[in-house]
Amino acid sequence: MGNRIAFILLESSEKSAVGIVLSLTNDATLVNFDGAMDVASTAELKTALLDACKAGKAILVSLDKITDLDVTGFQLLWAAKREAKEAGLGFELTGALPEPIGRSLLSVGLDVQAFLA
Amino acid sequence: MIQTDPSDVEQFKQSFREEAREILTELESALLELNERGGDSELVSRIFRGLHTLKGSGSMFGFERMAAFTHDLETAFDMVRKGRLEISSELIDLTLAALDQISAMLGAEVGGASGDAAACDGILESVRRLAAIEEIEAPAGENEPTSNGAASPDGPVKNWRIRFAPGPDLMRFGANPLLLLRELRTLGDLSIQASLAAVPALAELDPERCYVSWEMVLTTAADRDSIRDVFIFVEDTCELVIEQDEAPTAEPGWEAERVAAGLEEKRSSSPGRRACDKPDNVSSLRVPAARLDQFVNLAGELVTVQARLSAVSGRLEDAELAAVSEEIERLTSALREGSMSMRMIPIRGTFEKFRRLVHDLARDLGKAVELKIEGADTELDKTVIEQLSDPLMHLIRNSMDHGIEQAAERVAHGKSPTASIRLCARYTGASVLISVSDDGCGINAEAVRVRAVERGLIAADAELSEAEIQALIFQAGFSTAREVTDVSGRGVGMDVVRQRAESLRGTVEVSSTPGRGTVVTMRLPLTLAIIDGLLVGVGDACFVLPLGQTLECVELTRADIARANGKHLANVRGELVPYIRLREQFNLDSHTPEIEQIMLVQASEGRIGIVVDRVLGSCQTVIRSLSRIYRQVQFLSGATILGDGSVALILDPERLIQDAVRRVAYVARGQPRAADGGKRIQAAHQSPIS
Repeated sequence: MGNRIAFILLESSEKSAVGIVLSLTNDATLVNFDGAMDVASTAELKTALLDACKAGKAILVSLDKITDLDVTGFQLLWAAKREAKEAGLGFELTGALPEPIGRSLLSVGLDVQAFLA
Repeated sequence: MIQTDPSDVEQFKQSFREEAREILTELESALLELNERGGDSELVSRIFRGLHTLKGSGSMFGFERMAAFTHDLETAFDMVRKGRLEISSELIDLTLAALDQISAMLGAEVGGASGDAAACDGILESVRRLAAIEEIEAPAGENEPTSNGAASPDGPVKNWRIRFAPGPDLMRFGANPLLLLRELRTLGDLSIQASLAAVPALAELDPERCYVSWEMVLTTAADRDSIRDVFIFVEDTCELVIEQDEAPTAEPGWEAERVAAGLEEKRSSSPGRRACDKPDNVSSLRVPAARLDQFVNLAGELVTVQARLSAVSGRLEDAELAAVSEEIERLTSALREGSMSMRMIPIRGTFEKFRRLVHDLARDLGKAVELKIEGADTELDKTVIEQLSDPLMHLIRNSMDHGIEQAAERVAHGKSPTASIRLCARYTGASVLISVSDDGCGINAEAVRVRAVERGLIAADAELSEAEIQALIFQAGFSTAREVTDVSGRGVGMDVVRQRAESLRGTVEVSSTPGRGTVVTMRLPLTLAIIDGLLVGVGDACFVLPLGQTLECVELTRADIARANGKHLANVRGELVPYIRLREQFNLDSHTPEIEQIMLVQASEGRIGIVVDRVLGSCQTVIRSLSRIYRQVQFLSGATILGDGSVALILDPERLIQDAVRRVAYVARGQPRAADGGKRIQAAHQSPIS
């Protein structure tokens, strides 16, 4: 993975109990999200994803520690994916989205595999 | 969760209170309409939705007690909606009583009464008792209301094409569209397709806004209202299209393309679309009344300053300044009219709330009465409307108690057993006529006369016309009721009506036909803030006469006065018209000109003249209230500041004439003059304006 530069954008602040860690490797920008990716945290996630796009490397978003994903989080990930594709960058979701969250989104037409994978 | 500022929370709560009060008013109207029209499913649905909104929104904004209280009422109307409970006058009365308690609970948050806990318990117990009758027949758990109202929908299964696009602020209000769609899924078989086409570029994306929209086909036995109820809290802030799909329901599977095509076609035509695409919802704003009043006051100040500018411009005779002054005058006039029109509100709200009064009084008095409302869209200044409730209430109570007979008596006189009370508003020139009429027994002129003599209001041998006798009911302390009742009969009501009408610069008249009914009409100005007047002068003093009441101006010469032998009578084209001299009225000592002017005004007594030295011209003036020391001078309705900074008193011709008549009567009886009659305006050192 080479040199890693890690910086913490937000971690368990008073506003939202989420953590977003952006890590740069030689090949990719990793976005590790911990907590609920919902309307309370999407402002921070947007900043992280914009930074990730500016880094000019493939973007990897880890879903392992996501405890919830609402429509604002979903559309943000979709917008980042579209941005990355247009810039010729890779975009990939890593880790396994908790199954109940995926099923719940699917029930309202938001298919993680179809839209984000 | 989104963290919100405490002041935002209070703002949301205040906003909810205002909306809740509107819902309460609508609920009351719907309940009373339901009481009259019986089983109207649309009305029942409206009531259910109103209660559902009160409960849901109340809970959301922290009015937990109110939400819990509303729950059982909502349950009862859900049962009515599903045909499991008969609508009854008992349920309607209980719900009306409950609305009063909810209103008190809303007030409690801002320091009002918190509602009567015992009364609330009593209402809920009665509602539960009513609902329990049906619970025996219904399987357990079915009476729990669901927002969709179709946990076990019956009726034919249909396909519904639904498009749902959340509005920009939906997420900020704490609503979650995914939860709504999951709730929708409980109604039946849902095919759903999300569209992310509206999601903007990452940099431009508002992270707290939902850009996703959904196209769906729902196969269900639930009806349109039940589907709409899922979106009840958000429908005003989203685009929602619900269309029945005529295609056979047997077609299973995903039909997204057909749905999308059908909905696209529907989007191009307006019916069925809601909220975001309804111009009404985005073209009106809720503005605090205090802010509006401040704006109107500022516009009023501007009118005063503009008048000063015009005066300066006229004095300096500078063409360029005159042009600017005229332009400012034009703009000020437009601004003034615009600001005034913003305060004009329809009288509907005031009228509608009397449905409840009539309903309750009819029940208490054992009379059958129907309230008819006409001209509810007539608009008046909000300050006028705010002061109309009391006099209208007194008039209605009086009609219900004294005017309308018991059903048996009505039938005996060949009338319908159900009496009617008509509330009517209509424009007439710069005034609005508001009348309360009934088809009751009318005013017994002889009883009024006898009572007036007993009370010392008239002499026993006084010769009065029918109209004059009827007008006596507006005298203070007058009542023909021998017993004081809860409804009326204290003799204060009609006096209050007259006083209120006069304080609004209006008049009140009564007309009654024995056996046929009574009509009481209030004539009120459209606004109280500004008056179109005629500026007149006596000596150094200036006065404003309301233009609306001024008929014409004729000259009064010394020769005319001599011909009338000193009597205050002028010959106007062969008609003798009595007049009042303002110089005498105000004890002004200035020199009387050779030729004076008689301003003829229309008063309830007929045409009467007001004599002044000169007519200075028409003016639009902002009415300032008088300071305390001058408020007892009843024939002044206010004052205004003129362009040169001086003060002109605004005359109330009606009161002025009444005062003059009273003074003549006192003089004739050898009694001292009325206390306010000889007030010397110039002697006062204090400004007349408060």
